[in-house]
Amino acid sequence: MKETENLSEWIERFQLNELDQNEQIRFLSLLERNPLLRREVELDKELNTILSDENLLQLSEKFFLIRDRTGHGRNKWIPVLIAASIIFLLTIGILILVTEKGLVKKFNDQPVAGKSSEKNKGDYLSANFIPIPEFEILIGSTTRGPSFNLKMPQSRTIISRGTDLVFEWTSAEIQNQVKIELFNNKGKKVFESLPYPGNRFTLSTTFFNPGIYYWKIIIDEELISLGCMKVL
Amino acid sequence: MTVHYSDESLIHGLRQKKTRSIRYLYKEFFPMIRSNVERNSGNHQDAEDVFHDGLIVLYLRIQNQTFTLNSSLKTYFYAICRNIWLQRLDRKYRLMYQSDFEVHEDSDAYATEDYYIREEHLEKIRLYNQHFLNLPRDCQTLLKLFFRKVPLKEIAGILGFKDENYAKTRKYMCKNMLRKKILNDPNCQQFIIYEGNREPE
Repeated sequence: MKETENLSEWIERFQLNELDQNEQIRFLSLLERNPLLRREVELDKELNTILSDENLLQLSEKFFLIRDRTGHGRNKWIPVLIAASIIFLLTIGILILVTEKGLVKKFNDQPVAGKSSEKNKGDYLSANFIPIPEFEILIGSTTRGPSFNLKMPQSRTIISRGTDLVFEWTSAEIQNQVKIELFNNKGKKVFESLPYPGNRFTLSTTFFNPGIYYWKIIIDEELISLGCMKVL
Repeated sequence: MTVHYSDESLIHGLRQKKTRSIRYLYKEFFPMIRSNVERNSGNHQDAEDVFHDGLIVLYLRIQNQTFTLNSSLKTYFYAICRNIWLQRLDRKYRLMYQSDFEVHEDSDAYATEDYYIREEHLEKIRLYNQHFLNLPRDCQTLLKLFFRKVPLKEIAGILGFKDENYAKTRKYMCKNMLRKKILNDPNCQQFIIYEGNREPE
């Protein structure tokens, strides 16, 4: 390390003619024997010439900065763009998978409007409004007499998609826990609430496809009331 | 809104190394240079190098106050860059396939009249400047001051070193670091190995 530092110093002092006679003799002898040192001394001489021109150094510096910032047609963003595209495609793929396996599975027999052609879409939608006779005859009946009174909704309700459907009831038995189930017009259960101790429940219809749905109010596994809603 | 510079104002700006003039030149002229280089066995990086070297040549030429432009600046700059690229191709070809340099002296047909703006010297300027600009900031400042011939005692004061001796040692270290970077750069080997003791003509 020390020797390297000394050599660096000697190279500098040699260029500046600052070596004394003895040092110069020793250095010249070293130069003669060591081609690497000769190369370094030559390079140092060139560096002193080139770097002394401060104008050219400034010009280079400005050019490099502009080039790096502007990057004319430079493809430095390509790896980033490729990575971003891959992430984007993966996200889309995952979303599709989730939609296919999750939401659609949840609303299993619901026609997915986005997947159908316009012609089929109409067919699917009209199919969603075919009532279930077995449920139709039970609409409006309440099986528990005066101890349970459903105030809202009406037994037949028409609602726009995205509007909340509010269930409100009174019950003489405080310990009652009410469960609400929702079926589509194919008899498939598409929603089930947890047993609920209160007297008001709000159901969002944002993710419901247009069609007929039947709700059931259940207490202690016993059907209390059945109604129908049309989501438009 | 795009500002348009006349050739005269560009030359004036370039004489003073104005960033906006260099940026304009790069924005407007580079696609043409790139296209030429890429059509002649080069790539994007080669084109950028040639553009830099052409900029140096143009800068050096316009320093002469009697400099007159007989064509548009774009045409003139294109010719400079084209010559540089042809010379470079020729030199690289010789480096690759010829061991005897002296055989092809005629290839200087494209050469510029001045040694200082010869193609290989331009490449050295670019590479050495690039390495210099990659040194730590304090080394760059120290060496710039040294090349401006600022006395070491003053340099020590400016950079907050404890004394002149430390400034001197630091200068040796910085210079050594720069030399080692260049010696280890494969792009610089062509000059270091082949030039040997050749003196500027």
